[in-house]
Amino acid sequence: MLRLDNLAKQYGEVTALDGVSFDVKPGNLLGFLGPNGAGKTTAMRSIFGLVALDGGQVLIDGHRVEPADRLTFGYMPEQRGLYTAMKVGEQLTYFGTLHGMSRASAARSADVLLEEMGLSDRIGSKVEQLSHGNQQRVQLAAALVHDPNLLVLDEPFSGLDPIGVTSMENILRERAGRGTAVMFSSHQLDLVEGLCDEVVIINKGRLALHGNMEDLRERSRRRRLEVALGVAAADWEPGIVGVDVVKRSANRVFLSVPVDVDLAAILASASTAGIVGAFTFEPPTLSQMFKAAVGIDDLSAIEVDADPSEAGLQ
Amino acid sequence: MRSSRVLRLIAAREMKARLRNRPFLIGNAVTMAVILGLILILPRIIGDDPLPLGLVNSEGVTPAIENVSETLDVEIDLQRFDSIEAAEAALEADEVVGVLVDGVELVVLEELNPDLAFIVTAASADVRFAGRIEAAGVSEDQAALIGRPDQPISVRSLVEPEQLDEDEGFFGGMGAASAGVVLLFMAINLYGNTVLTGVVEEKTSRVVEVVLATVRPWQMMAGKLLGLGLLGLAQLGLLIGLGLIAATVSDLVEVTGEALLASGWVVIWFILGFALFSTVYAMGGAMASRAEEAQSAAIPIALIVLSGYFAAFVVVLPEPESTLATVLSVIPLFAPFTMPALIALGKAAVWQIVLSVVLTMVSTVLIVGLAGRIYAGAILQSGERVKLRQALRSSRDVIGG
Repeated sequence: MLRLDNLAKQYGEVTALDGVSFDVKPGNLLGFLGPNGAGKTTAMRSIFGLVALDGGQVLIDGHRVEPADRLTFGYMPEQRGLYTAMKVGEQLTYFGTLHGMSRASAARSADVLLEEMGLSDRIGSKVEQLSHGNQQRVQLAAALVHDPNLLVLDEPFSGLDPIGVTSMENILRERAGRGTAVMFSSHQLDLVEGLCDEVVIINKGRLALHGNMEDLRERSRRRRLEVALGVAAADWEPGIVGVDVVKRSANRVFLSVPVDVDLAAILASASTAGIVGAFTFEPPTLSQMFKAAVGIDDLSAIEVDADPSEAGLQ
Repeated sequence: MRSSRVLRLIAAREMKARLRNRPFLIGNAVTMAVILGLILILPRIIGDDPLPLGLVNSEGVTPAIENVSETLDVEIDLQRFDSIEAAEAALEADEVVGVLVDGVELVVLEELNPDLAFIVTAASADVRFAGRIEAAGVSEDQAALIGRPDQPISVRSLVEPEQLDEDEGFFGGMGAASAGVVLLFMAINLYGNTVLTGVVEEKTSRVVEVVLATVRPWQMMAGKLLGLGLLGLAQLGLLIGLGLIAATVSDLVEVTGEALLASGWVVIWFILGFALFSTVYAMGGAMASRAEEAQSAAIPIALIVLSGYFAAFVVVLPEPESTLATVLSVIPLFAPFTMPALIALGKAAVWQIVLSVVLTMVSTVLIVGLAGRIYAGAILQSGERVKLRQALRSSRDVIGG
């Protein structure tokens, strides 16, 4: 198990990490979230010794991570990097041997991975001859070729088309299913929501939210409430303390309510305004929890299901 | 994983990458061809052309002329003409430097070439002497007793002329020293720049982040320098070997023990010089953020290398025994060029060589320590150009990890 223990890092005036701690467990998929500049990349790089921490430590199975441990780690950095003039197969074999594999077993593993990714026919192509999407696949393969126990991916979904996203999801699920501890950062919250067992949200270098996805939803003190109200949706006000209107559509009102809200009172209020066609009470989405955790006022957010790349993540 | 294995893997990748890079191969092949060509052609250009001598009705003197010119080791190119007019036309066209008519008269255009004068006079004297002996009815044995002075005049020089030992030739002395310095300059410069561009490529392509996730910065740098250094060594060895073979085969010069020794010193000084300069090139590459910046990072390094090169050509080669030459040949950054020049000239005392090697090695250790730290601190910083102090400060980031 990987443990990030009280990590701290300061870059001049900027605090990148300020006491961040959490675990990445074998067989678990952990989504690592936070606005840009929250310190995600710094935390991930520190696992590989690419950042000297001002405080805290990275532990694996209870001891400080040593260079030898990193042979069993796989890393896909935010800024992708490969030897562009090197052939795909040779490149993967090379990275395998750098992780302590023999040439033969590294080459075999590269073959299998390329086959899985549908890139077998490109084994002899130079990386620079591949399309952007295929380069991304090779980059992932470079992180997987030595069959790591821990997989750390910085924005693995960025720049992928829907097919690429699905295939990435499948690979991550499959690795976690085989017992690999997987940790990845992303801004695509709906994707994380569907994929991850656990999420960590950091903001300004501090841990803002951490836990099992289901637990977090249940634990959340707010709920989503959706009321279908026909034409009355345009001007119905529930008029109950703590109940906020988030959005209105042509015939629906979307509300954010406390978990212990008096639902009957809201329903009564709605019924006096118009005919209630549907009344849905749900745990919050990850996106809502994210906004709450990083301190974006839910009311100021125009849409509940806002595209995370637009709403306040810059 | 043991460091030795990591270094081997990285070095092997570096070598393979260069050996498959067509521009690199072509560039080097052209360089080698040019140098080999120079080695083969230069002595012919510099060496004396045979003296062209026209002959009209002088068959009787021809064997004597060939005899004398061979004794004097002056090549002579005999051209026979049927008429004086034709011979004089050739003389005016500068095709011959003189025309011997009827074995007795030497016609020249303006000035008499001294070698030619001596050869023709001596040969003609030989022929006439032989004729008189025959006319006098003296037997050959008696003629040998009377003799004819082998050398008509004795030559004495007040000033000792410069010793041009046959066996020093092109590969000994001055030629070897200049060739060695040029080779060292080209090899260190070429492979230093290969290190620089290689580091910048790794940095700008961001592959360095992937590699450094498993490999430590010093290993990444050392592996690269090892691979490229070995490649440079192989190329230099190949070049020297081909040069020596070409020289031997073409029979231009004799390859002597001295020549082999001088070549050996060039190889040794390539190793010392590459070790000294390559980490500085690696550091320069790590501090740049784009290929264009790498070029400007290379300028100060190139200036230092050039200074050593010029010190060798301007001071050491012309005046190897001067105090300045002695000093320059032990100064670490100059020594890789100045000391081999001094050695090839045969003017380096053992203590000088030892001092120079030791000083170079000591400064290499110091420079590798410093440049290695800067490399480690700068290689992972992208964005703008990395400043020296900033790189040193952040070097602790990654050096231990």
